[in-house]
Amino acid sequence: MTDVARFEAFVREYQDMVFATAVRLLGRAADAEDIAQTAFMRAFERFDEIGESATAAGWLKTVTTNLCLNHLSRYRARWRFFSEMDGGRETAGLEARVARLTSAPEEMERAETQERLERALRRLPDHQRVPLVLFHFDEMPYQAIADTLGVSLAKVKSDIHRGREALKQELSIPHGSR
Amino acid sequence: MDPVDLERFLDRELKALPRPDAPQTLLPRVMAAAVRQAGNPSPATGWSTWSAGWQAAGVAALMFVVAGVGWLLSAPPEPVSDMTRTAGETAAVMRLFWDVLLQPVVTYIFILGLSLALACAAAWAALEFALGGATQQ
Repeated sequence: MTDVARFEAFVREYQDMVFATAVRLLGRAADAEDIAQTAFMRAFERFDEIGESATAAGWLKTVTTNLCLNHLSRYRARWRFFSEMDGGRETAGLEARVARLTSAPEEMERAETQERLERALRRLPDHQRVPLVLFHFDEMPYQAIADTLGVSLAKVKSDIHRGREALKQELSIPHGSR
Repeated sequence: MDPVDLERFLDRELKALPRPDAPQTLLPRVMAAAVRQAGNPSPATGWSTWSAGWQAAGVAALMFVVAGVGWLLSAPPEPVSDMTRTAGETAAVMRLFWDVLLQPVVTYIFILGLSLALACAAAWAALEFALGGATQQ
């Protein structure tokens, strides 16, 4: 197998993980695709070391996360502007996936809830979404998130709390339930 | 729902979300970029990893530069000698300018610049403290 063919297999194996990491941190599919491409090109430059490594997935996830955080700090203002413009288009893929995957009514309801949650997560402001994603998906402790983002521990806790409250409202969870 | 329950509930729900699929355009984009990069090696990847054509071109360019430098050093043509002389004269004028005008005040300029930088840093730290980190997001 040539290097290019090996690299293609590598990209096929990890593309969903890399894209999911990026899209949840950035909230926008177009930016996430750009970041995913950059992450894979970094891997390509060091493919001799990384291609067969057992830590390839972890390496890719770390590189993708760092690229996303750099991207958010560099293009924050522009991101906010455009995310308001094409918010509807971003969710079109989610709706299509829900329609494709569901059949039974309970599955449909479950999928709709998940779609609302995913959409609400992507709509959160980045200062709430990023620490929330790092906490729940990457299982980073609060202090590590504060260190990574360069903000105070109190701010991380407050932003995560506000993000959760926003998600709760979006999911219409009544007070006192569960 | 109290904050702890909410955290547990959302943790469960978020982790249960289906992983978003990569768009179908990602793989072709990455492969096109990889093929492009393989054909145009970055100097950062090291000469030994370049293709034979690029290695030969690199050797030829290096030999051309070495031959050019050797020729200039052994028998510099008239324009080069003139340029060397002009550069020497310019350097002498610059040194005079430095000795007479700049050197006596350079210490004061340095101290003034350092003080301004420290004052700016202190003001920034005070502002951040006053706003409780809100400027960092």
